[in-house]
Amino acid sequence: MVSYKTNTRDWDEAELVLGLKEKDEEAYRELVRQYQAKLFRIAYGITLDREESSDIVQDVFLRVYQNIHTFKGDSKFYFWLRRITINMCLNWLRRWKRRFRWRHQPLEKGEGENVVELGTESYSPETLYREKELEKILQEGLKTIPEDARTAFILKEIDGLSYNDIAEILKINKGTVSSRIFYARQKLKRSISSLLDQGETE
Amino acid sequence: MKKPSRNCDPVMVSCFFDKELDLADDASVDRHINSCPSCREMLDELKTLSREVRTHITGICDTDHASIEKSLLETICRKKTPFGERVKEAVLSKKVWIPATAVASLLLVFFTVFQSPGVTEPSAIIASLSGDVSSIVIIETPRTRQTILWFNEEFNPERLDL
Repeated sequence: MVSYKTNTRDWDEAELVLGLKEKDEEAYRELVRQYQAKLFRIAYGITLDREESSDIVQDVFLRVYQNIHTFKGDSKFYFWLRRITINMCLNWLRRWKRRFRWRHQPLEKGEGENVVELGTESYSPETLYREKELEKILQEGLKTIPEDARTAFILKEIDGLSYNDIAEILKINKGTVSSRIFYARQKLKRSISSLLDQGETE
Repeated sequence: MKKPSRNCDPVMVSCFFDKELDLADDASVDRHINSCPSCREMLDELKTLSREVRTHITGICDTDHASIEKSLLETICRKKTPFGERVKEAVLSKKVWIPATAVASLLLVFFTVFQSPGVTEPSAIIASLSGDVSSIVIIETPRTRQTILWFNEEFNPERLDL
């Protein structure tokens, strides 16, 4: 039976890894609490699919459970988690069926429709509408960036990785990282401008 | 947007924004940006784009992930359960026995309705009749007598004595 009591202990990385190796339930709860949001952002940036990102993050934690004994502590624990997440996302992208699914999602569906309280001061209908439109445009803009460029771009923007780290993770050279990120920015800028123009003419 | 000059290098501006240039290049691009409205605008655009993308993705991902925690802990508990117990649980679980019963019923229906004719038996044609319109064959086996009747596809009504 799983208990859901609140985790009040402060864990440092070494303690957490030790707890995970000992299959301590509290340590796994802490693992999820500390890292799920970070990993989810990376996964979402690469896959642009909320449901899949959730599944990927869950699978990452399961992999940790199964393979924690292989973590030798040569790098930071988070780097290890991040590498697993990125690899799983890249594997996901290689599966054409899933890629097909999200590429064909209707615009109206709008990934990430957060529920906000209507009529409040900061969310007047006009503000809300503009924000929703911008979100939709950004989302569509991100989808137009080829996956290899988007992955490098997201690792830079979301996780703040250096070009060297991105190069190592994606197994490409630093120059390629630089050009992919530059290309992603140009592409996103153009797509957003074009989508904004379309919106104005409609 | 201001027109870029020959000295403008958008890739360098992008690297400058990411703080990926060495000291000398960084200082040189910094000086250029301060004197070039086009590159300054480009840098501002990169800042805005970066902020918007981060806000967008963080906003989407800023949800409650309690289900992930619950599911992970349940899986861990399951994996901790001894193998024999897990087999017992699996066999008794509705997820197993309901589909198993359904499959067994389907197989039973299938083999009852579409069962093979069984062992072949000797048979003999004891009478046959061929006409312009149809033909008849009567076959006898040790247990049954069967009549087969079929119609000719090329029927010529002129040949009938009506």
